[in-house]
Amino acid sequence: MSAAAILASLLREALPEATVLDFGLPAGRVFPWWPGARCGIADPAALPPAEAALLRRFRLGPAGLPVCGLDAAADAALLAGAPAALGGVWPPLLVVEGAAPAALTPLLDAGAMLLQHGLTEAMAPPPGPPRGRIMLLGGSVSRIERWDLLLPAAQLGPVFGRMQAAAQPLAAALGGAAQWQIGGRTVMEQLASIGMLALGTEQLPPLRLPGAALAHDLPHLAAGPELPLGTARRLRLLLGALPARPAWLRLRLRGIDPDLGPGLFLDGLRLDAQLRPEGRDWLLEAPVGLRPDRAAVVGLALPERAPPGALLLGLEVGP
Amino acid sequence: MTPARNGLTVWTPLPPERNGIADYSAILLGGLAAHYDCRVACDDWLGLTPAGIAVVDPALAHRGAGPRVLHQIGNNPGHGFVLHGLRGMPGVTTLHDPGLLYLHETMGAAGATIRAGMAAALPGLAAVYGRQHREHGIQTRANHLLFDLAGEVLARSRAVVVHSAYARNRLRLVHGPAATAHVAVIPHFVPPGALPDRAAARARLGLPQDGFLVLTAGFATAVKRFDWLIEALALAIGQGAALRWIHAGAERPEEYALGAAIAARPAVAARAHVTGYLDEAALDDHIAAADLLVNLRFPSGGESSGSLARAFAAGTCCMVSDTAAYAELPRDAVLHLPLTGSVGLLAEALCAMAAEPARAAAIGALGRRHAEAEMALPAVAARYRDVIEESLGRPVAPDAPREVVSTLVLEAGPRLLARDLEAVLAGRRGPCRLLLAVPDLAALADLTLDRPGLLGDLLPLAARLVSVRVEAAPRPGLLLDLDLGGAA
Repeated sequence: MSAAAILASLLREALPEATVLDFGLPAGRVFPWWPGARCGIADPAALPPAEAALLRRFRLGPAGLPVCGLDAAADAALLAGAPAALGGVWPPLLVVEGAAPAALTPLLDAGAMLLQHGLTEAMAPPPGPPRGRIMLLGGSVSRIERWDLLLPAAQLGPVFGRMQAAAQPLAAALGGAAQWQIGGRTVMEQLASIGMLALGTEQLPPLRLPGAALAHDLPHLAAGPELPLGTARRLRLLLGALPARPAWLRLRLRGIDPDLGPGLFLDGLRLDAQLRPEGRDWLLEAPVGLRPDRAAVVGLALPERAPPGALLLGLEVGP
Repeated sequence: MTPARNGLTVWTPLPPERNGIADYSAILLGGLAAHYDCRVACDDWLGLTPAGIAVVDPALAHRGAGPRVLHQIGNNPGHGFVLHGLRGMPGVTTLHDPGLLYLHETMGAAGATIRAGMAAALPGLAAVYGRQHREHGIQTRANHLLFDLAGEVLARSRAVVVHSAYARNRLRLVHGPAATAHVAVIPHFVPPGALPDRAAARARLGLPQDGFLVLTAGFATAVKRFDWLIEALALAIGQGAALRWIHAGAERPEEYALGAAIAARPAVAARAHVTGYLDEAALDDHIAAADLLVNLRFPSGGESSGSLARAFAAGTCCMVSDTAAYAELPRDAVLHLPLTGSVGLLAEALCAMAAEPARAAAIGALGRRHAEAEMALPAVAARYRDVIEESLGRPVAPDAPREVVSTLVLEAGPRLLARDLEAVLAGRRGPCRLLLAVPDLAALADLTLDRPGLLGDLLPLAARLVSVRVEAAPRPGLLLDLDLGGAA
């Protein structure tokens, strides 16, 4: 289930300016790999109330944008095309599992790009202007995952080219080209395909996110690259769904008292974490088992007597 | 292969929070662990649990939760998250104090919600007290005794546990037999393990082995009747009783100025000491070292006392008020102090006990025997298990809808009465929009001029006026946005 990570890495190179709205919650497999991407839920009515209440806590970025689909005012502004509600440049890239929900029709009518997961031939084409299609194949040769990128026809060629160019360096960074089967072709003017498949064990790029790029539930917002905790004693971070694999979760912290060590949590449960110094910062890390079907929530708890003013510099998931 | 055990999510505060229910839960979890794989939803993620029991963030407790849920609710701010949890994850609820008005106030519940809860419990009295609350912000101690605001807990729980028949009967009287048919009585437990030996405890505390020690414990509040005790101590000391008094707990001057009250009686002050808040071990030492635990309550709302249970376990003689749940304790296992003539009777008892400590010791031994028979932790945990298992199939009332309803319309003529509005709003909760419709704006002007204070007279007590505006079209009238409160 590594395709989302690989394809998001390629797409980031091909669409560096795109505003990304990942409507994949309650999982959300793309936004973790795309710093600055917003997350949302396509069908909020189907969400259990407690899960909706959880997701409604989170805010993202300097504007404190909420999870799409759970804030009526922000959603209305977004669907009306208010630039501030979008938080980026037009047209946005909408990420959906399966067919695009009807609620997104105004954005699609206005020309939004679409990244769809699943067998899209069986789905009705999205509303709006005609779009070109790049079929994206990820995962491994023994387990292929299909995504489709639907974008303005005029952009198909340039985006296809940039993705192809990005694939080789990415492969080189993930075990070398020999570990990957990479291919792609333009089938016709409005249809192309790209595949990047692992030949053996699926390789993943390390996940490294600055503190300010994380969706969090603090009462205040980040102004710089780090996330200041202020006087808060508890912090939740919405991480998204990551491929199932044993990994280490690491929070890079500054300004904490190691004698009043913080607790690290995943999905509400405390992890057996260790705190170690790295320069003037501290790494709080623990081995974790991740699940691909539900957005992970990372928690940090500081003891009552811990000094205020700690900074979360970043989060990492990797070996 | 070990058979899989059922999971149980327990919503409760935990130590180190200075909260008697936190201590209760930490011990109860040890007993429940014999029956379930327990985890604790606690807003202090670093809270302390028995070994092998995990703490889970309440915001994520719904993930992986099974149908077995237990909530521990008391009437103080430390339980706000438990009440929120109950709304999302119904289960069995232990009401340590049947009155929850203070909890709702400290949670910031809307006045309309509080008045709705008052009206649901005692509609007749709520008409008076609710109006004072809404119009003058008056919230007296009487309100806390009269209006329990337990309706939501009763409705949203599959079963409710209280610690005394008094508490169950009180709920039944207020809320009716149907709403309380699922209330079970499980007594408070005595802490497992032996409490310290009296002599060793006294040695650790630097107390003489032979002096008669009177003890009170817990947060010093007015209902614990320190005024009676101090006066009785003064009388007893004046009559030559050889005793000393320790209050093993913290003072809350905003609730009862214990230090000042002691200082006002120099004879008592010379023999009194207030320790401040004690951890569990130090509290156990004080209880074990005491000859007499004085555990008075008046008025009592049916609350239980952890200190009393500890004193039973230690074999320390206990004196309680002859009221509420304390009146249910066996007459030979504790001393009951009548509510009339209390000071004189208490002074007499203090003199008698101080003169013959063996009498206190004998009563303490009977108290311990009672506790071992009725209040042992394994037996209490087994009763919890029975209540939890029997409740699994019981439905709970749905949570009150919170969305804004479509606009209600009421024709507002000169003869419009409060009961007309009451009828239109009956059974509704939360935000509500109501148009008081008039034929035209001139009629509206006439109506408001003829009836000064119109809305104040018309609106039910449980309704809070959020906003009002004059509507000219499509129908002229007064458009009211109301908050009718939630269930409480």
